[in-house]
Amino acid sequence: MALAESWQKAEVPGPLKAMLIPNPEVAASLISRSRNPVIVSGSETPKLEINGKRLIKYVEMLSERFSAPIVATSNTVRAFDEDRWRNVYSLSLAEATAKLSNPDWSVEGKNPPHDTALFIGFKYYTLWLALSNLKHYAEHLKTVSLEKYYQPHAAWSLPNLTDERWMENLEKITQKKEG
Amino acid sequence: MVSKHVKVKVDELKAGSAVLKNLEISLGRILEEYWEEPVGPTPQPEMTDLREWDKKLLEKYRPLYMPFCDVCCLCTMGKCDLTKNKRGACGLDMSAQQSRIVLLACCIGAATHTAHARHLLEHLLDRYGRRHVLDVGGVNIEVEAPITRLVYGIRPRTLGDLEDVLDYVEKEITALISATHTGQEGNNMDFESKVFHAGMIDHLAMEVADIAQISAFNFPKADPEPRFAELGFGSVDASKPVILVIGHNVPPAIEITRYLKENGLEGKVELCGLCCTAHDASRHTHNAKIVGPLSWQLRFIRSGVPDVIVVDEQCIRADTLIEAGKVKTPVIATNGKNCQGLPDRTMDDPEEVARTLIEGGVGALILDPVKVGEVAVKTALGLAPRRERFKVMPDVEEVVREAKKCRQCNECMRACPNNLNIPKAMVEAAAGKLEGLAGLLDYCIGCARCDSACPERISIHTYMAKASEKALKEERFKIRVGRGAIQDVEIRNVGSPIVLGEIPGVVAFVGCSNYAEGGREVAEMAEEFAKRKYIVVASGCAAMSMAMTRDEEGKTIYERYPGDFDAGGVVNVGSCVSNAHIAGAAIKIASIFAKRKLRANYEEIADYIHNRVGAVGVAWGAMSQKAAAIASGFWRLGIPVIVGPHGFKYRRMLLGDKDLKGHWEVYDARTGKKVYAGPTPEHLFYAAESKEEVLPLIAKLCMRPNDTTKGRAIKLTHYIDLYKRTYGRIPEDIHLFVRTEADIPITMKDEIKSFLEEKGWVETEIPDPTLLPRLIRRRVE
Ligand code: SF4
Ligand code: SF4
Ligand code: SF4
Repeated sequence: MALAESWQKAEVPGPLKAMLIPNPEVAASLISRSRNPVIVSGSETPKLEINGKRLIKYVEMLSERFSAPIVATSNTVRAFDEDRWRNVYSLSLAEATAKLSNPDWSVEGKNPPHDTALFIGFKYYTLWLALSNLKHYAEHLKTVSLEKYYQPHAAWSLPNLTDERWMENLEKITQKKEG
Repeated sequence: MVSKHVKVKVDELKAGSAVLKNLEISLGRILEEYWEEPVGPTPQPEMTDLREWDKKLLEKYRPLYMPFCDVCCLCTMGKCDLTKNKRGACGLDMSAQQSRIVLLACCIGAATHTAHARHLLEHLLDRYGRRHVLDVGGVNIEVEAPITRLVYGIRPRTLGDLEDVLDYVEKEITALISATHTGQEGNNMDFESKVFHAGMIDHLAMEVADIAQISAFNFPKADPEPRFAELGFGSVDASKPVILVIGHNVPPAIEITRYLKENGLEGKVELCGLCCTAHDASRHTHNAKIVGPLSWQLRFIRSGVPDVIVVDEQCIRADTLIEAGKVKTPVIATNGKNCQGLPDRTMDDPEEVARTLIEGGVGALILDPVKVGEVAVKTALGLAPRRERFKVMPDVEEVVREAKKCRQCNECMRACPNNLNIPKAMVEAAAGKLEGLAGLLDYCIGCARCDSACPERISIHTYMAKASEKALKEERFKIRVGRGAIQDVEIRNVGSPIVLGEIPGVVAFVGCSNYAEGGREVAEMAEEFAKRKYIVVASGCAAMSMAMTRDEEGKTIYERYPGDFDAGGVVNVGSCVSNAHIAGAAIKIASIFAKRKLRANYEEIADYIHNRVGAVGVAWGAMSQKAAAIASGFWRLGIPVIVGPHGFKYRRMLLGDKDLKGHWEVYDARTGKKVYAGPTPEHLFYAAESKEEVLPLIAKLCMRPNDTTKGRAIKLTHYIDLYKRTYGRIPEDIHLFVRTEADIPITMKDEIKSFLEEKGWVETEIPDPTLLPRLIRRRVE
């Protein structure tokens, strides 16, 4: 049974911690139900592979599956450009966090605000802090961590996973619906 | 003449009949006055005196809070749940709590530098007297203490004058800490203003400490080409008796060298150091070696090489005694702030203390640096022959045997701040392959949380060091020792090109070694900007990390670039407290080059620096409360600071928003008109995820409203070039930094012009920028 336990053990957030995403279907339905989702993809995205498959491919599949724009932090936009992937906006994690907590903002300027933000491809601690800001200051936003490790400050998070299970989850979440 | 604390109390005085009882006269100290410049508006400012200036900065650079934890537990009405900005029992909300924690961190940092300065100064007054004249650069330095002159408002001449400055500093820190008490300050923006105050005070304390020690210990005096010191694990000659000093407060190390010299033992005992005490020992004597930054502490202690360890204060591992005990190295604690639980042997015969340590004593507390000198040397000489068998790393068989115990529980990795994949390296090590473990050491900050977490009690960090033993032994680098202040003439030479923007910026690499991807990144960043003819300045552990990379010819950055404060120079100012000279250089540009009044004229000088001096601080591995205080001193001067990934844990940034046009208006001092000056500099405190993100950001944050078109074109060239290199495309915000066509770098003209057209760019004015209405010379009708 998966535990809502922080990967870095000392990271004990307080009374409110992320709800565990029990299975990929729950994540997929959570995201599908959102009005204006955005994906935030971090500095580690281009460096990570899961069993030989590049993490960036999953981010692109997420974007396609949920028609969500991608905010690429650090210089990650470069990797998306090399993949000739459109719909990518470059903002730093600091800037993206500040912008996401603003209810009048959306990355393309359309339909503000974003009601859901998916996070993937970060150093563990940089993300937990950015998520902490959003937890306290972005009432309008539901944050979802699709990282390999449980992120306590998100609204929803995958549990700590092995590479195999992480891959399985991402495959299922990004799978196009039949019909 | 300025007199302080004058108190005359006469309980009974009958004139004429000459009855005089209980007369008490306390004149305190009287400062003689040597400075003709009239006192400016803010001498010895209290915490609200610069609040309006702080507000101007904080309106532009808004705090972004990233709480570490949802609760507050500072008083017994708590714990209080502050989640989603709920209020605690005292009425405090999350933003105020976060800014309060930042203030506490900065007060701890400032108090630490101040107590260090006070302790050092008292020692120097004892040894050299109050009248010992301050000399930080001989005839090359007229403005010997820019921060003291600016903030406190005096021109100090002697060691004794510095006592008064510290009195003021201590008073301010006490007031600031009191503001964090339950039921005091409740507004986050006011807390932020107090954070700035703590930072300014911190800089003052650092300046006092460094100018005192430079003057008394005869450190290099603003010498652009001071001698080189040897740095690295391998630079220490383990065949000699070895004394290791750790910390920041150098008198014990100085007394060790004095004892060695006076007893003809120079060259017979190896003196080496870690952290800033090492910097300062190397500034004092050519015989002192620098082992490395803070993160080298454990690997060096565990190597067994030191025969005696002398600790003073700050950044010393709390388990030094335990770790040293494992390799039978005695520890001498020398400072009341860090007694390590050791018995006080200050009053005992040094001969006797040394004998106990040689015969197996774990350590002693000796609060007299002169005695420390004698005891440390005698202990090292007596103990070295007995410790031979401890001066070795474990053998490979032991590593393999222990690695086989690993049960792949991941506890080490989950404890590791850098999430290093130790379990994988353990599987390989169990099969006899140690390369994996060796590879991890490059990314390891030496915290030993892995060791502590391991249920099998495997000495993970030691085995990493063993796996890297060959490389560690070859670690021999050259670093230019800390030069201290920047000469007035250097400031005169670079003042104009910096202010006009033709020297594209001053980049200061400062702070600790809490790196996410290893110290190599600091060296690479420094090299990049030195190559591009920025002025690169360094201090503390960052200055050491920069030295730990060689080119193909085996030379370090300090051997390849000159040490003067000029374009393409790489300037090591020295230890943590030497950071004062970096702020001091910016202040001197305003006062010496631009001839702005310096004395107690904080706002005007800060306004000048913020709008004209393209300086950026980079604290890539910052971890300490001192680093927080140092950064906040730069913020109040309007100088931006960037921290590395672990710096997110400082839990708040100060971010500008380039989309809010109104935030970027300045007054044109010529006309009084408000002019859009672009987001320059865009942020005041920023945590970055990666080196690739930071390279163009450094270049960008060097832009200032005052840049001439030539200067802006140069700065834009570097920004765009670095951005293209790391992001692979041109930046989206160029139009915000191009004011007139002449700003556009010639080599990129076509590309940028078409980009500007797309963005609907229109020309804007180049102001004579200021944020202070009182500096407007003529008002618009
Ligand atoms: S200081 Fe205030 S918020 Fe903190 S525990 Fe006490 S009552 Fe609660
Ligand atoms: S000592 Fe090194 S490997 Fe161990 S937890 Fe600390 S950083 Fe990680
Ligand atoms: S904590 Fe110890 S036993 Fe567990 S994986 Fe790490 S080295 Fe192995």
